Amino acid sequence: MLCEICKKNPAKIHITQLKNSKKYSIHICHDCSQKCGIEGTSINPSFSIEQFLTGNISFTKNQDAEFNAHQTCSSCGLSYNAFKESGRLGCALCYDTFSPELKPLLQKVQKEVKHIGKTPGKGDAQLVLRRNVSYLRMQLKEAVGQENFELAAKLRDQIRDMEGQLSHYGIE
Amino acid sequence: MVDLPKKYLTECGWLKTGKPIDNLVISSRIRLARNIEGIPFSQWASSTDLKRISEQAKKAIRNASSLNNPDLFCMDEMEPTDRYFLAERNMISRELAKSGIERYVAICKDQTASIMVNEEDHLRLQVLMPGNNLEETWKRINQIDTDLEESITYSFSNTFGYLTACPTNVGTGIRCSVMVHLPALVISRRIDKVLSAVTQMGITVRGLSGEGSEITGNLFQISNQWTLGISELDTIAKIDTLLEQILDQERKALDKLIKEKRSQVEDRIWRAFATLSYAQVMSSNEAIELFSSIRMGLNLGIFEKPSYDSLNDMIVRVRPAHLQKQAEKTLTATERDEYRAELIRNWIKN
Repeated sequence: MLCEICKKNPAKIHITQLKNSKKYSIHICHDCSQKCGIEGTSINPSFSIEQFLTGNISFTKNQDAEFNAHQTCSSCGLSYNAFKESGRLGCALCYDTFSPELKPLLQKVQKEVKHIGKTPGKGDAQLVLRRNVSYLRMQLKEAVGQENFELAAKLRDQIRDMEGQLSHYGIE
Repeated sequence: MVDLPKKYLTECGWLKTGKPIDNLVISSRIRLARNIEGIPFSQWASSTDLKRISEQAKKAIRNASSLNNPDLFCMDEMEPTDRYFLAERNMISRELAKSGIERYVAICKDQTASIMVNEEDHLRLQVLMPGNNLEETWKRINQIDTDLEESITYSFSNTFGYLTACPTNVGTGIRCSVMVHLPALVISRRIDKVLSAVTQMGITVRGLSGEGSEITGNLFQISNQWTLGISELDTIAKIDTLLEQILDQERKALDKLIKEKRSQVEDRIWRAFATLSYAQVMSSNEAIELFSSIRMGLNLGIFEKPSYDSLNDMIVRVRPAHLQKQAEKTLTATERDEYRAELIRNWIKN
């Protein structure tokens, strides 16, 4: 297993921490553990893997922790440091500003860094319906592939319903 | 100060049992995190921004036909007991209960849906339904979300989906959870094994009151962690599949317990009944633990009363703010334990 921070050296140090009945684990190399204030078996009492998971991004990004930490969002003025401490972003634009740092974090805590699912369709019911139909068709194909016929039948009925609604708009 | 209407003490839609009665799944809950385009997230918003958010949110809530003219409460116009009362029945979070200015909640008449304004995100929508019913819960919340969107432009990106204050909610912004009662797995000490075997990546199991809470009364909440890279329907399907496996294990564990240790199980149930019938002082944790045995007794047909509805209702009724609302006065911790024991004795008698 490779170190979760530098992704280069083998992970030699394995830490598990329990916080609020949640288990957090990290696997890191010797060099990176020193950077985080971990020496031998002694861990700085203020060390939290939860915060660390948020904070480690600056290490993964070309080691330029200093630069990232002081970078601020041009819209709300939030610094990357303030985000690391609170775990909360300041505004929508923070997602663009901190995108290079956020993506590795999201890869760790989310399934993929690509939204799948509902999208806003303000004032355009037809568009929403069309999007939903195409999404359900995709699901139907998958359900048939997995031989989940019960789900497939359900999806087929939903698609029929929606197509029925679309036909009211004169769209097939 | 604004008083909570009296009906809040007697009605709570999501605590009623579904039909058919589900012995093991108490409730299904879905929440969506949403933010308004062009305004900083609530934690970093100025007081002017907080007002802009609440004004837009209130207008959208009034216009949303699926909400059907809900009750609207502002946190800084409510007594702390009333705020904690709403938190105890999961209509708001503890964080919102602690807050004040420009923090609102809209609650549907039947108390199955609520919208928090200016919590961690500008809007936190939630729908709670009795029993195992994520599919219906999703249909309802999806409609509310679509209705609100008629008046609000949500903050959204094609890559990251619905943008939220915390990156752990970004994407669909959905958190689905089912509250399950798993006494046989706990008694037979198989719970950890079963949960670690079936729990997959992207799913988490927590205690009764959600994040950071301890496991009490053998009640567990199974919920999703992933919100990005997985659709709402897939999230629900994933939880449903996992839930079926857990419930199957619970039923098997119960069959085995009854086969091998029937008298011990019955003894446990009757002892719980006796304690609830006669105790003079009781903490809310002890009560919730004992209610678990009563639920088991109902499930096994040992008792016919109380009803599941009434038992669910008691789980919230014995909590501190609920007790004080019922007593119509402030109670110290000792007084609460005495009042709780009295309330339970009367409930068991009837």
